[in-house]
Amino acid sequence: MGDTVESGGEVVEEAVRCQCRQLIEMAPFPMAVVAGPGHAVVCANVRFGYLFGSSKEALVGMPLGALLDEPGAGLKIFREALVGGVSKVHRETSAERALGLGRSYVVWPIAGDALPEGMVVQITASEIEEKTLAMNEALLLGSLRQQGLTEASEAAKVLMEALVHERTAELMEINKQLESFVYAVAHDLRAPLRAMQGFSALLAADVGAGISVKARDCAARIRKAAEFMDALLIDLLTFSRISQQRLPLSRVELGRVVEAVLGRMTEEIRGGKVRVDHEGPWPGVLAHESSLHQMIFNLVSNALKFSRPGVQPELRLRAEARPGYVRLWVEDNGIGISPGHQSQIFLPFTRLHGGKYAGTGIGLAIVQKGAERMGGAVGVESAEGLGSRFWIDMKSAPDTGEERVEQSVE
Amino acid sequence: MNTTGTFLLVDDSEDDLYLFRAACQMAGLRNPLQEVHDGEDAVAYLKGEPPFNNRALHPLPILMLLDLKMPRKDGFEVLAWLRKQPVLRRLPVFVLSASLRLEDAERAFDLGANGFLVKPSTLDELTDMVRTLGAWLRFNHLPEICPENDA
Repeated sequence: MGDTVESGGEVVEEAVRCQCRQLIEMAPFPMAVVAGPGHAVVCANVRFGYLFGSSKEALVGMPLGALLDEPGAGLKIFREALVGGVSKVHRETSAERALGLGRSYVVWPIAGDALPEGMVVQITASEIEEKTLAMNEALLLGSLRQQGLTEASEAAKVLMEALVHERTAELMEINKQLESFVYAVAHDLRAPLRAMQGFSALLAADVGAGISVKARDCAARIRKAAEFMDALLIDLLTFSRISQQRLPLSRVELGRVVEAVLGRMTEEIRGGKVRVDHEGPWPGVLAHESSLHQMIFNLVSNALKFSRPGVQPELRLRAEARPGYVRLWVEDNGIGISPGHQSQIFLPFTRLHGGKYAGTGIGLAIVQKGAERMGGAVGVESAEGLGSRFWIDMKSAPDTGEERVEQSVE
Repeated sequence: MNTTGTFLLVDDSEDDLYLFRAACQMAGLRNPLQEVHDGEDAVAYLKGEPPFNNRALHPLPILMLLDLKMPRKDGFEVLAWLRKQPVLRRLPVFVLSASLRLEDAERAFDLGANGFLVKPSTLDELTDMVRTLGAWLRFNHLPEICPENDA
């Protein structure tokens, strides 16, 4: 158990060393830990080394008797301390002092399981008063106590960290399983939908077989229902992913995402003769890029969908820099939303106008959940018949040149 | 350049195979289609083992469309096996899967897939995809995969 060091033929345990090393290194007076019948140095502090004109490392293993000029008297207290288990002090007599030796020795035994395992020795010039020595002893005992407490709290801290680590691993595992489950469900539900869509499309296209108009109409309805359910599953997958997965956040160029979204909708924009305004400036935001893309896509898609008949649709995207965050506006001149419905629309499966407008009713829920996960918020300003102005607040991420990566809000 | 060679379709779903055939018809693609329903049959077909040992009836394909989730050896295992074969490994393989998972695509490409096609949800889109496959074939210069050289 532990390393050992040879000292005068005796073997000294690592445990004894460890216990006091830090302690004596902090002590203001020369101090060493000795052990074994030869009182060999186990470890010493720097001042102890100076006292004997040596580095503290070089003294390790040396029996104390070899270091002291007058071994006899000094070493007697060592024996007494070891046997009695109490600290002892020896001050050299005036005769010895006259010889220029003048030292005081204080010895504290280090308790082992049965007998003291070793001792802490402090050697100072005799001029130092009793009071100072007593203070030092108090400090030493206090430090030993403190170390004991610190060790206990260290142990508790390590245990806490282990528990937290385990709990986090558990949660991550549950999250992963949930995500796998959602994924497997969606995957397996989409297979029959593919069949329903495909076969009803084949039916409807099969002109030569003499299928009645009514039958063709039925086939078309089956196809549309299958396509709708597929869209629903895809949106549910997106919603689940945005709600549960870890989304690493980093600096995103808002302008670039806006361009990408608008690029995906060029046909609808051209077809609907929509006037689009997306003037900058476009600040950087702290976000998860692909989720942000999906969120902006959903808002733009809605803006184009809920246009007022007979009115040329207008779409405006702009960013407002505010203290610490950025507000992205997606504004339209469409049919608008009455105040009574404005909170409702962010709930999943909410479609205000029933089947009149295509959509799964999950688009805005995705926008809201995504914003929350990124530490932001969403909202709308609107009135019926007067268009809608949707906003997304995100943390701003100015271009400092350094990479900033955070975790999404759990 | 062989653009009229056989496609080998590997999929355990009868419905998906049927729809793929229908899409080929609608896209005007005339390549003969051979179908197997699991990974082990795919390997047996490519090796020319019974019941696929008659190459007149079961010619070596010029392209394989490979589903991932299948019983008795999945798509990944087939791909891993194929890329170890001395000459057969040059066979172009497009994974045709319903999976939307990034890690599946990554793994497929790591194992040497030439493409990762996600099964579209509508017949129209599938027809478009097949049409594109046809065009891809016309522009590609595919290496010959001669069974004699197969060690």
